Amino acid sequence: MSTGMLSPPVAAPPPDPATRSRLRSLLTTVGIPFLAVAVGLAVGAVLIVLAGGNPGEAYATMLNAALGGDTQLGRLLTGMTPLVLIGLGYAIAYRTGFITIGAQGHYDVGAITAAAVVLSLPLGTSWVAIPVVAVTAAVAGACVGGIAGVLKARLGVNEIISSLMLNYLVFYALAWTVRKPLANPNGFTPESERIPDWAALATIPGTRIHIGVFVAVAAVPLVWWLMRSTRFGFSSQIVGESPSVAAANGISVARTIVTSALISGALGGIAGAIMLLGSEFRLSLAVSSGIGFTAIVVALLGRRNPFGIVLAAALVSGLTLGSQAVQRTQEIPASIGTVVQAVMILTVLLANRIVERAR
Amino acid sequence: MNWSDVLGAGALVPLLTAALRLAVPIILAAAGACLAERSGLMNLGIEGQMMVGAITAFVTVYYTGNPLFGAVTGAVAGLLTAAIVGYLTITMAVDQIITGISVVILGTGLASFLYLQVFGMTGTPPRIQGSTPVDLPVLSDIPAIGQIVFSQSPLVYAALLLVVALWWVLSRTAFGLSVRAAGESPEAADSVGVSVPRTRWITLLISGATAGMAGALVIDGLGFFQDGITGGRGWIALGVVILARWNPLGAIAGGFMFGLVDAFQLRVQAASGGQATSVPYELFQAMPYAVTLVAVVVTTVGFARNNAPKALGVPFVPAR
Repeated sequence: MSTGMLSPPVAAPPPDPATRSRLRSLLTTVGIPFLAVAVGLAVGAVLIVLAGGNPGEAYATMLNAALGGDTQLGRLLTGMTPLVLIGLGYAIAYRTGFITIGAQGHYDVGAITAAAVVLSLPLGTSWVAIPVVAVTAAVAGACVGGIAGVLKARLGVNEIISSLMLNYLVFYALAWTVRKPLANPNGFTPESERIPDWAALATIPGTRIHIGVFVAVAAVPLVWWLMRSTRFGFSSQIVGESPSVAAANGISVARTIVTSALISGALGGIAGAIMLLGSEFRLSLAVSSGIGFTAIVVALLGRRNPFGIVLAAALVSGLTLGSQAVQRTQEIPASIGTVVQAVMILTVLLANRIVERAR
Repeated sequence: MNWSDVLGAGALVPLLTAALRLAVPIILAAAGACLAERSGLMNLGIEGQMMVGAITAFVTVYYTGNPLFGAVTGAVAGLLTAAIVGYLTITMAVDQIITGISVVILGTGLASFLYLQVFGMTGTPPRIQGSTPVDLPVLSDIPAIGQIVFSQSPLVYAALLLVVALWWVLSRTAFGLSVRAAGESPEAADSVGVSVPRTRWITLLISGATAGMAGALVIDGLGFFQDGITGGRGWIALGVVILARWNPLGAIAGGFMFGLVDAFQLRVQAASGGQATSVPYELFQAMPYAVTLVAVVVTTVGFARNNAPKALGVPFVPAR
């Protein structure tokens, strides 16, 4: 008999419930996105086989296209930039319960504005052009976003429908802009003249990484701070959870919704301007290529958390670049990238719900 | 440009005929969505279900040459796509809005994948022969109306009959009563023995099938397929549900307004013959979307009482 018998047996201390729930929440925060990626890639593999490809080979090509070298990494970072900015905008809007799908319109109008400014104003130097474009593109995006916001906040108009209709209106404005006022007379398809050299965003020497990337880098902690530490961040969470509770506590529901609509619009406008001055250099219909929906995937996969959005944008941007490479080299349709993205969000939704139920 | 080509007396009947043809996909998808929303379920995935329906129908018609088969396979494909929405939102009670948007992305990607899978990336895009109009005996002899309504393709008749049938089911049958109960007060419906999940599953699958068939009607009218071919018609249909105040018959009026604007803008473009006009044709192309936006705003503001089902978008978990 050991002496231990004399004193009461020391039971293992009961796990602190707070620690346990924190551990579980960490597991789900990390585990669910990983599960989603695994399921998405598995479905992608099935499609690759259906398309007559070899999943191992296709995924190797994809990985190489996303991370294979400095050029690829540069493309990944520049591709991530608009996704991060728009994803942050969606995160802010969705937190307020404002379910816009209008980012395509904000992005397009930002690109139109940037092209119009640098092609028509003799600003002459990027030190002048960049602030002017940043402000005008942000204002243009905020105006388009603000329309859906005001319609929702003041008149109760369904923002899903209004923001989507606005996307189409902006698209036709884009079509007119590249056909008429900004048309390149020598272009085969409707497109603008190339932007002047002074207007192009500066790049890190020897790479494709332009300074727009740093705008996204700066926006991430800024939005995090906005959500965590400001009055707007607090109000938006309450409004998103329960507008009636918010109103009862003296928070202006309408103003909060409109503010989040303006911010998400401005972020989309800046994203469009960065893409135009940093990567495309010409306005064309190709600008409007579905990034509005892709960024929804980014916002949801990143769990509406600014840092999560960066990771999700890397994944989605890599997937997009990868699936384009696979289409070029192995004749497997690039749309598998879109399908994989959708499967990933559906998996996240389902897994979240299962975890929620188990509690 | 000669405006009498577009607006003259002789142009009116052809304009209205085209308007109805262009309206029918939206009317059909909107009527199905009315039914689903009346049961409390927001099927935001309609645009995706339309895309999957459109590509399925296109492949079917390309290989069989029969537009009716295309409508059926398109409807089945839309129904299967809607089943994904149903499993998540009804069985698992996941958020309906986010699920719907995800299914739009999924449907768009799948349709594009299938198209390239079947037809490859080469050469001239494949085309199909759309269905041909059939004059209904006697009815088509009615002046004007006969030409507009009763000289359409069999698919148009089938779609319009379906819409009327949906209205009848919703407003005149016991099942329709459970649908409305599930959408207004699911707890009360549950307490009197209506299975809310079962009711919502049925209306959702019907909505998916109508959306898929609507996709089939879109490619039947155009004769080709490309990415984004439905051009936001699924979203417009959701706007039409609001205009229709959640009544399938109202969807006929709301959808027809869209068709009229669409037919008008197509005619203006054709009449201007691609020549430079003072008015940009993009303005006309944008009209259907602008009209939908304005109409949704006016309907939302104009009625004192919002007619939306009270439990719309709210997941229902039966108590065990």
